[in-house]
Amino acid sequence: MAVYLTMPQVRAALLESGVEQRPSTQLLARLFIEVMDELLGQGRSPHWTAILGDEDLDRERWQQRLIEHAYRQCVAPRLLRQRAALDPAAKEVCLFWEAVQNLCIWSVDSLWERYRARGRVPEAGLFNKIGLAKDLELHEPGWTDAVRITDIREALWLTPGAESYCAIELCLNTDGEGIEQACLYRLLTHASYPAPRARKGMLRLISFSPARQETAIDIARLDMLQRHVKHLIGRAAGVLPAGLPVSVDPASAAHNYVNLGKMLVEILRNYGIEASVAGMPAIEQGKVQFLIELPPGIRVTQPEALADDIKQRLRLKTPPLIEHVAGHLFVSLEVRARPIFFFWPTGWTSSAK
Amino acid sequence: MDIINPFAQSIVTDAWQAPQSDVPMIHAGVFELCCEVLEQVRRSGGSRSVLLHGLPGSGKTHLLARVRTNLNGVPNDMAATVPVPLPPNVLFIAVRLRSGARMLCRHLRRTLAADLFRPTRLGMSQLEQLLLYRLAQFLKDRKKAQKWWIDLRQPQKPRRWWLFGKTDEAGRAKQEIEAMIERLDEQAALGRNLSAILRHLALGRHRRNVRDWLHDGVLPDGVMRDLGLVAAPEDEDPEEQALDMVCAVSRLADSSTPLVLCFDQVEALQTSPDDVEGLYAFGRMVSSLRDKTRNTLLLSCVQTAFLDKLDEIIRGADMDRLAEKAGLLKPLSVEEAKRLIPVRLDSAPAVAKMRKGQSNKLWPLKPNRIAEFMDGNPACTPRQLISFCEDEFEKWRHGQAQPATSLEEFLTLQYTLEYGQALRSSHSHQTDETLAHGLPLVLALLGRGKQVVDTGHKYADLIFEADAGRLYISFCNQAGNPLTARLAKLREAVEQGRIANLVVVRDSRLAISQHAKKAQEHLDALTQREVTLLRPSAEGLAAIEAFRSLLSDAKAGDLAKRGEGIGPGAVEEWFKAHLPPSVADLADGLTPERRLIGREAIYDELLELVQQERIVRLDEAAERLHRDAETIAACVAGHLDQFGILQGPPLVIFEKVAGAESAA
Repeated sequence: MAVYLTMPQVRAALLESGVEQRPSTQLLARLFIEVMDELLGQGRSPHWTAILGDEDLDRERWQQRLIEHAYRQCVAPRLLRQRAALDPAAKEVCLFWEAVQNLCIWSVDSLWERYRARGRVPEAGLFNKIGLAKDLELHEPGWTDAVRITDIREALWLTPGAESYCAIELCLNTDGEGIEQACLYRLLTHASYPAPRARKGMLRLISFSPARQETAIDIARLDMLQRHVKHLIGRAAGVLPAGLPVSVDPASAAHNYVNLGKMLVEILRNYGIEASVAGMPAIEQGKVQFLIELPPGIRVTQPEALADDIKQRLRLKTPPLIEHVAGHLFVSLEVRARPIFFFWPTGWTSSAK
Repeated sequence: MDIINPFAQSIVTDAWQAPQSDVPMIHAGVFELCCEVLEQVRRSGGSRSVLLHGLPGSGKTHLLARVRTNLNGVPNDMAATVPVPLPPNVLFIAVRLRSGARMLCRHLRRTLAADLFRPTRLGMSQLEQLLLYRLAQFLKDRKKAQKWWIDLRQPQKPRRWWLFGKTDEAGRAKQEIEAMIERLDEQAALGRNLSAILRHLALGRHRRNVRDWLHDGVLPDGVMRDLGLVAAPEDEDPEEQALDMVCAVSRLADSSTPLVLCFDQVEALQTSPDDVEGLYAFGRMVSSLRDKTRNTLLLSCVQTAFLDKLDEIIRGADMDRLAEKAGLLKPLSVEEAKRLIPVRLDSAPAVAKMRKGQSNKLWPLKPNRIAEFMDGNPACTPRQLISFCEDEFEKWRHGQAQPATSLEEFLTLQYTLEYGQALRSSHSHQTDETLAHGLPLVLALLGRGKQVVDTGHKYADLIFEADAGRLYISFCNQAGNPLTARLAKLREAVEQGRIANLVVVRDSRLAISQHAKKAQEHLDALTQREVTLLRPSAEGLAAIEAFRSLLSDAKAGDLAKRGEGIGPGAVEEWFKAHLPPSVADLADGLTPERRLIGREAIYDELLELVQQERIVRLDEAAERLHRDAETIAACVAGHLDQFGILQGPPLVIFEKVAGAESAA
């Protein structure tokens, strides 16, 4: 029988803190999704079409009207209905309302640009919602059991004028660029649509925290992280066998890159970070990815400088991708099309040997 | 397959409601009369009036819906395929006369404004289609007007330097349209404000404000200035202004586009059996409309039993105009019944599918049962027949008719539906209308006062004769200068001793702005002179709205339980027995011993802030209003109908929206 995890538990597993959000904050995230559905796109007549019809052709008036409408029709009824549950999250409710206003402003901006481009008042169906599977079962080699993720409300959206899908969410308690959330959306998309999907392009992640933050993340980069995301989910569900490394198959080509990992540890030490490589590196599509375990609470504050340093020292063509995921550091090096020649520079300490 | 009972709906509540099914043969004579008179209006250039009457449930509103469907058609998007601007066939306006006598013309104006913005078969609103056509009439090439109309709704593109000196199409279109509106004004004597409003509409600007102005004739001061509108003179009767606006719209539509005004539920104008004011005012209004316009068809619907009363109350000359032509909606004949039933049955797709190939045209109903019913009811109305068929259908489907609900249960359900609807659509714009019609009904029911007519007090919207003497009620739900002006007049009247026992009513959702210093000063002066300020809650207003709606339906014969009409007496009795606390509070607020005198300034300040921010922390509110947190918390606790609270910490206040709980 599969081990069940709810989506909030999965999200918690992907966070650096590993702490699940409070139920009230989870509720606000769910309310945000409901408000977004009503305002933007569920059904043939999303709310914005009905209210912009008799409004002046003026961006600010559209924004004001949609905000007013969002409060009266979407937010106020939910506040009243969920008042008891939201009582402890009063502060977050203020941020939630700010986020809803920013959502309205952003969506009106999208509609306005559409109007400017086409010369017609936008019609229904511009915000296209792609629903994802409500439940998802993961099976991975080596796991003691399958993991079933429930309570999935996440969805992807195709916004006016955009070519790639985006994920839109309320994100009140997290910082960073949202790579964890993006990984999760990628995982859900794969699971919901098993047919081969494009491995190129970008996934846009639009977070309201409460200000809008938009990040476009390379899908190839997300694919590289999928295995680790699954590992974290497996760990949260307790289905990993004891002592199993992140990367399995010790006979693989990954062994060839072990020394490269040691060098990365040395470079990090120069930055004052005592780190270690966890497990074997993952190799995929001409890239080798190292999972570096950092001491608790430590982050690389200048990833660009570190990337440049690594590029220079390892004589790479392109700087490596460096990202923090759930308290770990991922370093992906481009190794495609040419072998890596590295040498042991003189004067370095050899504690990592 | 889920089978819906095709006879479940037996009442058409509104002429804009699409009839579930229609048998043209039924009331064909009256329908033809309406069409004939409409043709006369088109040809002769004079307004006409038809009085339609029949038994309760005879299909008066259904007939209006048929007229509307035949004249307007079903809206669809044909705009792209129509090469030149066409006039709407008619301007169709359906008025349900749920109004106080002294607000009748304003009620007509509001309905007119709402219906003018309903779409025609070309996809535009009735008013826009008419306006475009009227503008096109000034041009040799009518297509040009359509092109300009579309161009002006395109986003403005920045002018490139190399286009400098070339004709700016949008600018030219704007100039041309402005010139044409001026000519239209000269031709039709539209007046300064209506011309300005139409200019904005033609140029694709301020559509929402245009609609609001047509609705009430009042907008916030700043918006009035922006739109180039002038406030109406203070001494002008708002009823006259409203009537003038309706006449101006009729002049805008030339004789090729008649204005069809349908008045339904005339009986609802009578607040009590001995009340004459509402019907008298209606007679005057219809008479004025007939005389002052040249292209209006007035269709009024009443129950046949009400004709005598109408004749008795309405002035002779006015009645002659109102009942210039009369159309009787006769009971159903057997042949009509046999036509009606199959059409109804086929209106439900699942039933229609099952009926294919059946030799019995009435299947699944039994012809002998229908024949028996028709024999036993020689004056059978469509509603009675539909109700009978509903039971027969249930018997076929479930083996037995639906269990009968008691009158109590039925009225409770109807009231709950009406109340929910009223709460959801509740808006402070409707407060005057709700109170003007509903308050006399409530006070008469509770025996707290009887409405009296006294035209000598211009700023008293309602006057009641109560045990403690005359009670004057003035609605002060305006904003900006109109509010200040009204309060100033009231203050003057009170200080000069012309009005005593005055109650100023202001919707509790309408804050008195912090910036309205003069209005606050007048109000404070009034309350010092023992004038009561009553702030009815949204819940109280919705309850009154639901009550007056039920009562109006009952009076007009539109409230029926299984085909049997429910009289107004039953509704009044039920409402009195289940009087909502919010209504009781409101009525108590009018009695001398229970009145609260004095203005709560902090409430208005907080309300204004919360309506602006929607959700705000209590400490932030206290800081912005320069008050201490305890005072704010006490104010919130005293007005939980307006403010919601999240305990936090921090304590957060949010604006409550009427009807939001039921919507959720």
